[in-house]
Amino acid sequence: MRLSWIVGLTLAASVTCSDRIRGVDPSLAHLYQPTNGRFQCLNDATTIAYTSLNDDYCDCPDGTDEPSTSACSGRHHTPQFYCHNEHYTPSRIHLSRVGDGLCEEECCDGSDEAEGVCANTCTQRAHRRAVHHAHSQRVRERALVTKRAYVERGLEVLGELRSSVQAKQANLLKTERAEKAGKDEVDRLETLAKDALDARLASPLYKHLLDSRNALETLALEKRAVEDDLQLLLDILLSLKNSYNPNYQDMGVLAAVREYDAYVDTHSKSSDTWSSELLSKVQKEDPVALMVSLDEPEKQDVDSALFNIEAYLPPPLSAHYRSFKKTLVGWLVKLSIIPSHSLQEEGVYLQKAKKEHKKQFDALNRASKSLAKTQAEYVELEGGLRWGRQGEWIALKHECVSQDIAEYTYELCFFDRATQRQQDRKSGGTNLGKFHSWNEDQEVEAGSEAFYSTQLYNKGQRCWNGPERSTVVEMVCGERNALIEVEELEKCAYKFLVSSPAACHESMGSVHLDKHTHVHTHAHDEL
Amino acid sequence: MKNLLAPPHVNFGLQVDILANGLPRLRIDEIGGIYQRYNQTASYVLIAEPDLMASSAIDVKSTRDTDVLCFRTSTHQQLEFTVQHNPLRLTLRNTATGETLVDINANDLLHMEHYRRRSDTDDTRVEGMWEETFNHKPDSKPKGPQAFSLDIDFPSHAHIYGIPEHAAPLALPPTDGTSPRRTPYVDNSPPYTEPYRLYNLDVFEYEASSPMALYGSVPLMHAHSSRSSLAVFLLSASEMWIDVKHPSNHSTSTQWMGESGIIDLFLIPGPSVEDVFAQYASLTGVVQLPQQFALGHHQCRWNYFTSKDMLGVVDGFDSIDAPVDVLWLDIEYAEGHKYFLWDKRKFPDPVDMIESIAATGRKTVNIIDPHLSRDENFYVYQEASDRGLLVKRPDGQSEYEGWCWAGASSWVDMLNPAAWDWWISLFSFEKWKDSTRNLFTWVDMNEPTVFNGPEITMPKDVLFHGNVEHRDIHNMNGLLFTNLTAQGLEKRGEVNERSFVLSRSFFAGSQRFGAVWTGDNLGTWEHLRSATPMNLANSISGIMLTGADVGGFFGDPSAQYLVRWYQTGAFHPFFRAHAHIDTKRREPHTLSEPYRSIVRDVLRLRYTLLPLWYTAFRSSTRNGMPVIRPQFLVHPGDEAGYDIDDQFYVGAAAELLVKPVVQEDAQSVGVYLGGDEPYYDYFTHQISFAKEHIHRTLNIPTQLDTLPLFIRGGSIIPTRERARRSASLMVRDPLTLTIALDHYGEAQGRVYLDDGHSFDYTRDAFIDRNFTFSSISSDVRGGWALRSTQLEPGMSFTEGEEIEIERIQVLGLKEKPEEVITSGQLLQFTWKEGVAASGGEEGRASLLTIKKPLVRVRDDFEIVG
Repeated sequence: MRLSWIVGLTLAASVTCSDRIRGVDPSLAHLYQPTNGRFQCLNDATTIAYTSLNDDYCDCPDGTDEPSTSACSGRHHTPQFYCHNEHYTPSRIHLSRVGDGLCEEECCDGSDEAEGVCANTCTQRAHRRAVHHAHSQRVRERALVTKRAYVERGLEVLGELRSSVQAKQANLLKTERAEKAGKDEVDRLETLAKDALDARLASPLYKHLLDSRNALETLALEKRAVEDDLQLLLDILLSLKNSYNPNYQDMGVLAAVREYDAYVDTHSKSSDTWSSELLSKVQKEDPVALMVSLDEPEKQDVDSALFNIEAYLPPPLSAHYRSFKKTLVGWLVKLSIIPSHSLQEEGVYLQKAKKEHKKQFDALNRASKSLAKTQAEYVELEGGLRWGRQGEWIALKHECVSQDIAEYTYELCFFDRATQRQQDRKSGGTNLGKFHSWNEDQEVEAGSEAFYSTQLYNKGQRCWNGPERSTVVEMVCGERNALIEVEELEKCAYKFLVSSPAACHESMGSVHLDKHTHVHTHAHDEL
Repeated sequence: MKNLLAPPHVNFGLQVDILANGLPRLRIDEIGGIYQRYNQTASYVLIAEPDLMASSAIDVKSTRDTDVLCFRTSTHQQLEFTVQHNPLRLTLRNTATGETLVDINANDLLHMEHYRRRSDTDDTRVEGMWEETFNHKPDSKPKGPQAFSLDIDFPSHAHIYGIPEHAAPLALPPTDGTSPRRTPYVDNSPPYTEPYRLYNLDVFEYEASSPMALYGSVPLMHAHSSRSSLAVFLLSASEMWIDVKHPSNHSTSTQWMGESGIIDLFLIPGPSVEDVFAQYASLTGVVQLPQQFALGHHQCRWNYFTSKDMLGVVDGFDSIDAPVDVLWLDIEYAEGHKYFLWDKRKFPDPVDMIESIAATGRKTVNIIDPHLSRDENFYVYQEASDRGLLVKRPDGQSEYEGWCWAGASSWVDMLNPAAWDWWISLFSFEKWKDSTRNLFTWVDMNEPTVFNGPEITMPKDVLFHGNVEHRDIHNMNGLLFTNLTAQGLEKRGEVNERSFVLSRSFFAGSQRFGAVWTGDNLGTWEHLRSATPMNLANSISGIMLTGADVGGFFGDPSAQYLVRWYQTGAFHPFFRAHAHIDTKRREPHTLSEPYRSIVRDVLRLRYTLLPLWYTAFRSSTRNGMPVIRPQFLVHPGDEAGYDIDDQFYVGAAAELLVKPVVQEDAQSVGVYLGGDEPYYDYFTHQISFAKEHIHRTLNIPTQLDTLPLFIRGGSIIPTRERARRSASLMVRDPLTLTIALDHYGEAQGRVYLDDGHSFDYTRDAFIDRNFTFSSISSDVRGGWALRSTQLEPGMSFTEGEEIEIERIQVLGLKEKPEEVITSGQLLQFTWKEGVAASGGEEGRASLLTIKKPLVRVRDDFEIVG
């Protein structure tokens, strides 16, 4: 009893008249009670005289005996200084900030400095925070109205898609029927024409046609590949020209830029004789149809040479002539001296039927593809994580936000890509990354608020001498969809700060509210 | 004087002056030539026209062939300077020892090309004498050939040092293709076959070991032996080449070739290393006492792009509780690289940003390069152009135009006195509204760099004020620019604040105007290894506030490498991390553990030692001694240490020995222990003696977080053990004294403190204390006393009044004291058993810790035990 009375006195002496120890979290205050009149260092077996606690001298090897002063600030693993901040929120600061003559923002009660150095601003801060929170809350509420509209819009989109799917299913059935009829007709005519056609398709001409066609296809593919490669190289050079470090110590780079300019100058004027449209037109010709159409000029030839005598005969002789001709042609056909006439005629019907069927078939294909696409779109929008917990991001699928910063315009098209372009240009620009995913941080739970606070866009245009450009988009709650800020902390690694009502959550105290407003001078207007 | 290669009517003059303190100065010039050779370099470099020795103090003995001047230096060295007329030979001899210190023209290489008219030139010998072309860049050479050559022998000195800036070993290897004495720090480095070149150049990705020219030059060469130390200083700012060879094991022969100007040679006779530094400082001056923040940690990058980016970096340091004093902005802060103009799209309110950073005692530095964008709307260019202050083309009329970061640019002519006040005025707060007293200046590209110029610099025939060709002043171009910029900072605002300017280009005397660094190094181990010899070479050439880009400018090196760089850079005088725009971010807070904590602890260690650093700089302003010293300066008689350049000492009395770990995955490192004093491991207090180790080399294991750092026995070091965010926030913090005893159980030390930023210290507002720890022999118990006395009379300063000593640690005491007393009061102390320094045994030193000795730093006191 007596002992504790003495200890109580000591405590009062060393810890001022308050029952709390300056800089100590009340929940840890018990650790600073004396043990047999001594203080037990917190992480160390050492004990020191209780009077040495908070005497502005670091006694404990672990630096735990000076929670109220900076004496142990140079030691490791010391507990931080606890600011009670009554009427506000308690906080902790490094011991290095205790007694340094500065009033810490985190310590509005001024307890980190000697008495009289810092005014207690906790009440004002609490007031400011309340005002700020109220303002934020109003903004958030307005934003949430928009967000609800987004959710509605998302549902609408889904509804539209659903009816679209139904309509397309019906259409598909109809086109399926038409196609079947067309196919039957083709089959019928084909059976008739098949034998004759087979003979023709066995001819070297057809083989040659196929070979030429294969060659053309291969060449066209190669041409496209070469063009792609050329474009890639030109893009690389353009990017080099636009973003090279104008350090003329690298004369090779300067020479490359000049050569590039000269090249672009000369080659922009030249045009392609064989445009890809022309090529693809040639490629689209049906070789079988071509073989069939071979008949027509041949027929002309035979007609003019042998059969078109009729035109010179007087009308009364025409009927005889026609009968004679029929017999003669029959013989000639049988002797394989001229091709069968029936093939020509049937070929025309078949061709027509085939054309018709092709149309029907294409229509069927389109209908089925269109249905598949809509269905996929529906499935994609309807489920999964991408569009938010309530589908609120669906509404922003085709939205873009942009901002002029320094000499550039930056643009983010949600779920599509991030772009940077010179302000004086209307289109084009540098691809800063294509949509990849929401937050991929392992520690963030998929679908959580933190998950929807970050989007990643990657595989953008490669930097000269560097990586592919990529962009991290930080989403904050705001009334409008806006690109607020762009940073390029390292070359080719961008960070966008984007506000959107879709990023607002019903719960209070969302991190975004304070994060960008109280720090330094750079207040954003999104909230 | 006659030159056998010149026509008979051409005359040369030799002027010999003996300066008041006994330094011979030799000047050789053409007499009655077509032009006057450039002879004004000294007026920009020397602190004053030196006083001459009274002729009565010089005993001249002349014969028909020789003149002999006998005199005594202020260091009491009896010298004899002999001029032999035919053939001409100049020798400096120490009369007392008979040692020949310097022997000039022993090899008959003294030569000076005379001015001639082109019409008089023999056509067969025209090649290269007049206009010539280098890499398609023409040089009109309007005055024709005007070079000089001079051989200087050191018959009694086998080791020479200095003539920075080269990425080369400190003890200069010969240039005649023979192998250096010590294995170079670069693997498989071939012997040098080219002379050392002094021509300030912006060299892209320079080699880690080479005699080629770099950004700065100081034509000062030290010669050292166990018998004496001396130096020669050839004051010419034109391009120079210096060949070095060793005719014997104990001598050195050098040849100096310069492109233009007079020969202006100072012989600096020593004989002690301290004498050499004092004598050299009497010519070019001592280091400016840096602001305290300049000795803290500097964080730079090309570039922090926005105000938010900058403030984020500050937050990064604060988040890991690591100190930093200065945040740097490279060229991208400036709109269109028009320096002075902030790009407001990225830095909307520069003053607000600077002051936000300053709220925690930090400073901002932004770059002001000397090239001015030739944009008519750019006020700096416009004013310079209107006033005719720009460097001219060889025609002397139109403005010279070259390319640099800003595109088409012109350069201010710092030889024009009218440019000086104008340049200074640019920094006034009235004129430069977007600046504050917390903003300082970085001057880069001042060699100068001209992207489309010959060797990326200015053509030699470009004209400065008074029709001076660039070739005559090239190497001091950066010095002039730094000088005026420093004045600009000192003359803005209330005119009592010290300046801080970092310059890449430097010359003899640059120490008076700020800091320098070793330019764009690479993030390779070899470049890390080259940083210490380079900074030591600068240090012994008077350039005291010198550092290198911590982390390496180019590349994305490993975390291990960064840790080793911080451990090294923390012991270079100027401590700045910097990185190229293409590198990944590598600020300490971006590192992962354990690297982040190791780097933070290194930064804190630097700050703990700031009182020692500041005292060392103050001391240097008095005696000209470097703040970091190579082995040969601290143990001048120990020949085994002359080639060592990978360990060095820090402090006014070389109190600390540091051996940075600069090999990848190093398991252990060998520390050479000079002298007989005990060396105390800074962290473990383990005592080591040279005699206990083979080749005096102590091998210690090197985990990533261990840094070989020792306190030399006999030292008392002042530290501040409390962690703070920046140096200025430490100004009131108490000191700790650590006393590392020598064999005799004694030690001494010093601490200098002032407000850390103003010129009040020149009006005695400082504390300068001498501490002596000595045995009291009369006491039978072998007691001791620690005394604090005033070293230089100062009146203290506002923040200094109440600074206390919170802790005194005595290492290596023989016995635990019964009591420790000051002014009759008993002091609390703790005692840890351990070995005593006087016992000569190795082991962990005993440790006496006196808690709160109740004394203020400013007071005299005595503590006995």
